[in-house]
Amino acid sequence: MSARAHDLTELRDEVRPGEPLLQVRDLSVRFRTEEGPLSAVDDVSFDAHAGELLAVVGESGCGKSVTAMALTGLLPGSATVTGSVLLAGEELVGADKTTLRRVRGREIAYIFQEPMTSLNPVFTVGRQISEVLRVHEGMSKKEALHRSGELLDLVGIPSARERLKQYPHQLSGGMRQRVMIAMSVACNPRVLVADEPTTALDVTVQAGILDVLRDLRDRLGAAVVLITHDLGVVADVADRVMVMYAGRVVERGEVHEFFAHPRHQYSVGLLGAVPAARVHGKRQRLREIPGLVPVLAEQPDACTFADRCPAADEQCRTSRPPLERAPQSAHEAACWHPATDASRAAAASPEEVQS
Amino acid sequence: MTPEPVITPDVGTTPVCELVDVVKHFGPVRAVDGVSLRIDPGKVVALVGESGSGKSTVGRCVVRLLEPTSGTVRLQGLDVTHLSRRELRAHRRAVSIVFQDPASSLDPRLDVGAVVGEPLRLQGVGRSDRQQRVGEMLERVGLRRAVAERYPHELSGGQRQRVSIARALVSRPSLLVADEPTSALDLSVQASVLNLLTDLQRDLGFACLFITHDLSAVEYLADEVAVMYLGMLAEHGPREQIFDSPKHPYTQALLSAAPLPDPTVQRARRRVVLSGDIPTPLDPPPGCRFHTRCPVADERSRTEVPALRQVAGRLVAGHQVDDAGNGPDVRLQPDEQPQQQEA
Repeated sequence: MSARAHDLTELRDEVRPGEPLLQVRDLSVRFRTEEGPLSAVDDVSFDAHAGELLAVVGESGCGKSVTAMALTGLLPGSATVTGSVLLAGEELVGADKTTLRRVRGREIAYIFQEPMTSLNPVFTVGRQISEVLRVHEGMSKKEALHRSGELLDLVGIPSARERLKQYPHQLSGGMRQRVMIAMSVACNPRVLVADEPTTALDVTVQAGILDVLRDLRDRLGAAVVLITHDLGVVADVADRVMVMYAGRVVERGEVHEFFAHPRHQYSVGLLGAVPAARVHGKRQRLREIPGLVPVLAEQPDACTFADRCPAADEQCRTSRPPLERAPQSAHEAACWHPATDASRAAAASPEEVQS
Repeated sequence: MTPEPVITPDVGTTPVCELVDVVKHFGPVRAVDGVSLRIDPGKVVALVGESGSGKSTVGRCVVRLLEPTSGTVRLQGLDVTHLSRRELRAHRRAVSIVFQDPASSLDPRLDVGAVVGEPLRLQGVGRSDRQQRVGEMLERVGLRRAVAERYPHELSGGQRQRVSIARALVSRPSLLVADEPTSALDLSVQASVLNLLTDLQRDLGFACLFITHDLSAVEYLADEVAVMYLGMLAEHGPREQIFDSPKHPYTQALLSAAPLPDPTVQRARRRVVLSGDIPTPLDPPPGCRFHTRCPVADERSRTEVPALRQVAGRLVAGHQVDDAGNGPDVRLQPDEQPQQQEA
């Protein structure tokens, strides 16, 4: 390995053990659109710890991707970002271009859904990964190419040396996504943001990509923020889960706790919407969430899920629920009437459908 | 020899749809390469497979949006393989299709009433009768009758998919082909569309070819499961047989790879990660199509195409499965493999 390449397992000194690497506080994003103002993200706060995989879950329009882009100022000029994003103590909201350019790729790297559109078709894989290393790490051509081979090994690409000479179109979808991940981790980022990285891939290929993410968390000690709508993926790889709805965080907790005891009524609805395995050949009717995700110009002082919620009352429509911990637990929900084990059991499957 | 599909031993019933050795090539692309499939009245058959497996092409051959290169498509016993558009018209009411993306499959210039009523208009159903039946159908799919006056762009994705379903079912077909009907929808909306399809299928009794890659939806909705890989069927049988004891190594790998939404269960499972991707249908591998990624392939797999044959209550195309249904399980380690038992 080249002398300039960092030791992959070494955590940089500014972060003390136990302290979050990334601290997001009250992050809000508003867009100016032709139809008027749009509130996309509202007072989102979360921590990402080194060596931990945080899954951000939600349906389209919940603000999960906008939150990810806002971390390093990747949003267009029509967006207004307020709040705070601290990376190892350094403020990124409102930071100058030079700072953000240094942070992107080196400190916080992204993996997006479409590997084909993010790779340049006219350059070899080796050249594209090397370029990152030469620009950011100042490596020589030879060093960079050698390191590129190591990175392809790391993301599980067989016969990596030969792959370096290939062009993107010569690779399958799964392999292209691995190349993208190799480029993203080329500079040993401390935070890896993966936005629906397996959504365009088949399940047999998805399993391999999830293994790579797990490996990067464990071996590089990266904080991985995985944005997904797939609860199966969350159950497979996440350490902690954060559920977003209409721009707000509605629930946050440890993964087993979340699946076993979801507290926000929206989370209960989402988990009930996934077809579960049959019990004795009988299927349970899927839970439907009536209505639509609201598009908000202004954030109301109310629960934005109230109109679709079976448990909503006057309080939900007139007062915004804070994100609060359950008794003796770190599991948080922003709900005036959080679900209990008893209420979930009572609401589950009013009818069973005989198969 | 074409193996006779004998999934449901209802000797007396005419299948709603029967494919015999259907082949569909697009120039050099061998999208479907000899698929035989029988769908009995009122049955939901899920056709699963990864992208590039040819499952959508099979669906389009069933509704005869595509003309097969060779083989036979029979609808209710009648050979429709090479009928012209005009000749097909009489069969159009017997079989309908719902596509993945309702935004692009509904004519934006027609209001919902015209969209849903079009199949009836083409059958010569008069205006007032049509209006009546369109209104009833809209209510059946959970929309108000007044939606007939609206245009597709005014509706949400879930509502548009309900309109597609109403259009497909308004002529009371005996077979509905549903091609990834929920894939473009959000999770909470998917649930309502799956519930709707379940209710309509129970009430109207149509058979359904449900094309999807979502295995949890398959377990929810399907009576039978047919697994496709690179243009051919790997395995086809009753849902419980396929989910509880898959015999084909590809079926085993596919089922093991789909993550379950329960961290305790999911993390205790052993997944089979297949090497590489599905090969190109331009140049499919010889022998068993799956041999390039199969953990238990042998010399025979590389040279001889396995026939789809009746084994242990389902049809399976695999050299490694013997006639009693014994064979390797690629989800297990070598020392955990089941002992061979006498039939």
